[in-house]
Amino acid sequence: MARKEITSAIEAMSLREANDPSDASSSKPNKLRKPTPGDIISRHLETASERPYLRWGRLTHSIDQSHHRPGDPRRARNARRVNRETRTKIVTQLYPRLLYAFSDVVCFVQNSTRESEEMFDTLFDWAKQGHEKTLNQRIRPGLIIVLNKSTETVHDALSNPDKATEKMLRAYESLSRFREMQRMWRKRGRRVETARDLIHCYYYAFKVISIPTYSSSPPVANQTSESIKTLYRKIRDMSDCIREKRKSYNMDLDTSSFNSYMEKAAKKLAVDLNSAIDFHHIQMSSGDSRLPNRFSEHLLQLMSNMVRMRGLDQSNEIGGEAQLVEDLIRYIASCIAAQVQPNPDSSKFS
Amino acid sequence: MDFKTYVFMKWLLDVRYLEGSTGLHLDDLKATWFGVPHSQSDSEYPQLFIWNKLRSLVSEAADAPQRQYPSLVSFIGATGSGKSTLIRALIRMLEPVAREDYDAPLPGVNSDMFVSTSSDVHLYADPRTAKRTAPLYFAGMFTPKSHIVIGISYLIHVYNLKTARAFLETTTQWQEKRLHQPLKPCH
Repeated sequence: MARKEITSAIEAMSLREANDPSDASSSKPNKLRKPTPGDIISRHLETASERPYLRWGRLTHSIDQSHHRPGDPRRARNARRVNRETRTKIVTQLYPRLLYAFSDVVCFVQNSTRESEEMFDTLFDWAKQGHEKTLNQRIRPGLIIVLNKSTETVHDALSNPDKATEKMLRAYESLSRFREMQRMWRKRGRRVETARDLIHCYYYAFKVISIPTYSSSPPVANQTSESIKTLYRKIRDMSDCIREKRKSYNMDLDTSSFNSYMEKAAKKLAVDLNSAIDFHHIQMSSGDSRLPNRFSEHLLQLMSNMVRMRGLDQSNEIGGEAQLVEDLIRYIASCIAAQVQPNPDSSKFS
Repeated sequence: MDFKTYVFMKWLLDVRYLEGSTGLHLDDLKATWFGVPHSQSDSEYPQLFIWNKLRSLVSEAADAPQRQYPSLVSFIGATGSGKSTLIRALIRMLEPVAREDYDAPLPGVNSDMFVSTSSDVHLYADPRTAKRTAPLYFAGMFTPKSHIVIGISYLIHVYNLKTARAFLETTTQWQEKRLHQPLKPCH
């Protein structure tokens, strides 16, 4: 359906352009001329719901004229490009931090030819970026390492995910990098005996799955197909498990909360890439923009309003919030008690 | 493995079907969740564009429960590691019937072999869980290959899809007629 809509939109646009006498500068008077990619992209950009400025980003001053068609004066006029350093920051810091904070499962896709040391370094860097600057997240995501496009010999050795996971861990433990990480965590007061302990510092669960390179030979194609199914099953298992955990901490987000938390986090990182994503704070501030859904959100909104009323957000005094909670407990408890229907058949509350 | 699955896998993963389909596709543009376009308007800072992709994916799933708790699955990895093909395989392979209703990364689009640091994060719904209380969503960082040949590659994609279907149908018919029995599974 959507494709049809887009196709008809394109046709409408090209018709309009063909009839437009101002479009005489077009170099190709072709009947089939589609709107320029620039048109489609800028139309798409207009549909974005949020457009925060990346305050740490830079734009280049030079305009690369080669990218602009002569018949496209709108784009040529004011376009500037995102500089390379900024783009690297976006890909290596901004996106990973957002995804880590909001993912249940992280799949790290890796072609098995690379060394596991390098891979774990990337993974831990990634997790460090996300984990150490995400506050009150409480549940870390699960990690699945996908050894994609494995050669036949590699896949034969690693076709069982449990064995593959163990093998990978043992291999990492033998590296000097592991001992460095061990020392680092010991300094922080956490004992890391095995590579699994180390991974658990950043990720809730861990699995390795190998997917053999696709080949048109039926047995190999079958293996590939089976491995992809296994991957899906593992993703589902892990996500179920993490969701249960999330639920038990009362941290499961419905679609609208998910959306607004994500946007808030993105806006925060747009101002300062090094700032922490604090779920507690996001939850507090989201009271302004939307109505609370759950009991806990109502409570939180009440408390955050009272914090403002008492001026606690302005002062550095310690203990104000604790006193507030103390004061509220009795009030809330009596509200709950008033809502409980006594069971007429017994003197006990149902 | 039955013959149909085999042919389907071939269509899904064989490089010969993936070739030639380059450039930025409209459907893939639609899958963008957030991104920073290379080319920006004249202002002091670059802008991050965020789309309400999650909400639109949720609303696309008919008969879904009123309140859903999305579960995000992120795919990360170096360019060329095959993230997009994997997401595509996960979406298409598990629910081949729902192919029309759910978007998946298009073959060969996502630039996995193209070195560029500017990327978008795309979001796709998992057809199997879309209508459950806890739907899965696949997120991947993708690099738009180029902003050229959009119209052409779009046609190529449709063409490929049609060929693949026709191929799938005729070969299956042929196989059923000629052999009167399905091929034995190859293990």
